[in-house]
Amino acid sequence: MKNMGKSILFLVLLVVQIVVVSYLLAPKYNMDKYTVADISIYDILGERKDTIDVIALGDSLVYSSISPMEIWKDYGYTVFDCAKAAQLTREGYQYLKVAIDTQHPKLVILEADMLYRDTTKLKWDYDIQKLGSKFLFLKKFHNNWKKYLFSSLGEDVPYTKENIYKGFKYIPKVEPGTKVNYMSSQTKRKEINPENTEYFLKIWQLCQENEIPLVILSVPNMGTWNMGKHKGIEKLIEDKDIPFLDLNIDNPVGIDWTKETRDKGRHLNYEGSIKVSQYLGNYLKKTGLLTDHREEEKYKSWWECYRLYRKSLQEENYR
Amino acid sequence: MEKLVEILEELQPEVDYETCDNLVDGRYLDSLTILSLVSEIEDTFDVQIPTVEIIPSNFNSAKKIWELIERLQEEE
Amino acid sequence: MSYFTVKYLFFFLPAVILVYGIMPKKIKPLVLLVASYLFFFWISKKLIFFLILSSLSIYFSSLGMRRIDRITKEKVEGMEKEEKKRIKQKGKKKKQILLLLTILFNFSFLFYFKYLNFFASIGNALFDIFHADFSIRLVKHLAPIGISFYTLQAISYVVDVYHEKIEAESNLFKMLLYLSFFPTIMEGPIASYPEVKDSLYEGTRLSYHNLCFGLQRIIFGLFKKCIIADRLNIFVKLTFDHILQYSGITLAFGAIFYTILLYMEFSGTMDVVIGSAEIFGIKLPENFRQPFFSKNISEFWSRWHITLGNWLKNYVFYPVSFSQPVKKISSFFKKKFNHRVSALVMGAIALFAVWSLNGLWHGAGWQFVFFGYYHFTLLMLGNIFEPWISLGCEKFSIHRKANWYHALQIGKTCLLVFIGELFFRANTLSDGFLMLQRIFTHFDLQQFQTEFFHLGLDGKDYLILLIALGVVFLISFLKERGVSIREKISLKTISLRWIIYYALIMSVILFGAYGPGYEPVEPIYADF
Repeated sequence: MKNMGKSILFLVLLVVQIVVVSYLLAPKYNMDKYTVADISIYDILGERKDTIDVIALGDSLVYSSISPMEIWKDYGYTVFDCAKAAQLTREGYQYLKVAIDTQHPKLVILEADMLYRDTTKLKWDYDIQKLGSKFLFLKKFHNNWKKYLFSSLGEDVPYTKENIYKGFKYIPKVEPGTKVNYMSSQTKRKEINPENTEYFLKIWQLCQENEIPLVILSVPNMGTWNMGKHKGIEKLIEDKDIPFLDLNIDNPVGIDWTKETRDKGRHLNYEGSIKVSQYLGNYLKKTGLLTDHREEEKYKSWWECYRLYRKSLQEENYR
Repeated sequence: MEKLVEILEELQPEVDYETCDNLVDGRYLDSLTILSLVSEIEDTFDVQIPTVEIIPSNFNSAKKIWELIERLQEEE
Repeated sequence: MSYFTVKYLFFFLPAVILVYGIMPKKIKPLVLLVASYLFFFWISKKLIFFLILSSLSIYFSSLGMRRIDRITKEKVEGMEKEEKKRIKQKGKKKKQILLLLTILFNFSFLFYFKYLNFFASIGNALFDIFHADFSIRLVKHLAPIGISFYTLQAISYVVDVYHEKIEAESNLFKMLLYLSFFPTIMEGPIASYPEVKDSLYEGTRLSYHNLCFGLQRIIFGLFKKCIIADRLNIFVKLTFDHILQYSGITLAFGAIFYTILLYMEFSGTMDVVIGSAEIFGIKLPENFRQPFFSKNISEFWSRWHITLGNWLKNYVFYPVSFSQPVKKISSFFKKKFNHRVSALVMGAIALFAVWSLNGLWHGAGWQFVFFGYYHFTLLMLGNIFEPWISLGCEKFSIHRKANWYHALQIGKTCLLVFIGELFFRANTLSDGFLMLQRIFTHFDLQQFQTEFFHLGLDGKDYLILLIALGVVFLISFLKERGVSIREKISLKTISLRWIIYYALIMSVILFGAYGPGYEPVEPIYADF
């Protein structure tokens, strides 16, 4: 019994230490408004106030297909991927709410795949993962000790304060897709379920309240996208003023499905993402909503991130 | 017994065989030395030492080795 | 799933401890068996079939041997001496055949999964040379986890039963658990049956003492793996994969870092493994004894991966040394020269067998074969020159027990080990030679200065490395002096003790090389 008490005390003290250290190491930025847990989940909170032009909301398709740094390099627009694997519409809504608290984007892009996610079942290990990242936020910030300890040594790297990938994930794997004519117009319309519709409307409302135009985008996805889903989206936005950009119709991006997908067409790989980012950059330019920030002093840190991004890709390539 | 100590001293002179009781575990005899030792014992005392008997506990002291030899001689 | 995952440390192990704790004493070993099979199935899925086959094969063949022994004993009762001998011989022959079949059976799986491709590619190369118009198709198999480890345990068990060193186990469950015990299944230690049988089936109650000691050991393993090994990984990977890009000094650091990484990874895993078992009151044999304090290569191998060395010594070295053909050869040399030469020849043959197997055991590749023969050569040279060195020292009146002489010996041994591990890690054998050559020919101090801080590690990382290595060195040094640091700590006051534990845990959490910017080491020995 005595040992039991001792063990519990030991663990309690350990947890206290971990929590204290977490708060010490978490980025101070935005801390007055959000908890450490929030900051660890929402990468965009690491960005400086009012610097993001475009928010790309969605699931893994977003972080596989849109690389903000590629758009920055060629167009000077600041895009951020507010995406998580298998993100649900209600989580996406939450993310957008957090994002526009500190940012005033000129455009919100909503990836359509998220609207077809099955909201009724959840995988348990996914739940555990989510729970984990909520409480074990030290995982993300532990390297910030470098900022505080031995600060006279070596160069200062902006560890996790700013996400150098801006939400993008680099995956160079190749696994060709083989489907033929996956956008056959014969496919019957697929309805969007009530929960997804509800949260879509909430997202739209949020955008309207903040006077941000919304665009629905469907990135090249041979794995699960089809004409039926395309028709479903068309129905959803029938009477609303929302542009719908479906990159699956006639392959305007020019994806080579033998080389530019990592899992038989479900997600694009790095090569594919470059093409989509190029296309999207051009699209953004044509909207006339955005300005090129490449020469602006305020956005100097984006060039620093770009340098680290390149370096990181290079190192990843070695592996 | 004296003969045995003689052999041992020739192979590894740095040990006091009267007192040392961790010849193998203390790495005074490495496996190659044990090979020489076994082949000398077999010649000198006219016994066959089977592989199973070559375990640290049989070779950790001069006394132990001597016991092994005596036992094997009896079994012959 | 490696032992260094959240899944193992925070879900699997605690769950097993919990179930083990609430079950009655008799059921406890069964809990371990079920957990072990779940663990194996989790990683290797239906390949678990091969583990079961191996367990069954040694179980039945050892019982068969016992039966043969019993029948022989009954038969010879009251017989003449001559007749007795003849029947005993016959029984022995039967046992021999059974033993041989069991060993072949078990090795055939190992061969199939690990070596088929290697030998097939050698075959194909030969066909090419002779312009034969066919080739063997290479198929990549996913091997059952730990097959290199449990196969050796299985063989040690049947051989020991054959020699009547141990009793054949009649309880099948015990046999199944012996081969599959989850902490040891992936990377050893390769425990002989007598070493574990008492504690493995005891069903020891969980105790505060065991729990604390086990957890401490696990945390120390995490310290080695997460702070040191994982941190060095990117540097090592970059240097070994891009030999031509870096200066010789950087490559030399790469080689040294790899040896450190390997030690920290493997011995750290052993700490987690032995610590996990300790929680259940099970004592596993140690695999390391401060190897970097060795004075020569022979000693190094008695301190590094000890259980593999012991296995090879008991089941390869001695049997080969005392086999009939080798004995004949050695007696020839005995007549011609003397005992020393004959023992040297005998040892050379046996060591050759040991190191061929040691090299191949680590993997089917020429760099591993080379690694084996490299150490074989060093060992033989050491033995051949020993008399001359000893003579030389006497002549120049060098005291071989002096501290400076020891330090010199330790330095030399480490250097030789670094070179060996360089080949061990090299992607191919020719890469190994290239790297070794460039260490000496491509000495570029300026290039080194610019690249040293751009290989995944910055100044702060190096500082942390130095401190962590200092801690591990200090503990090893004290152990080498015969001081048990754990016993020492347990005698201190509670506040001091807790401060030490907290420092260890927090340093793993803070300074562990995980998350963005790092890439953890894959379990190295699990692939062997």
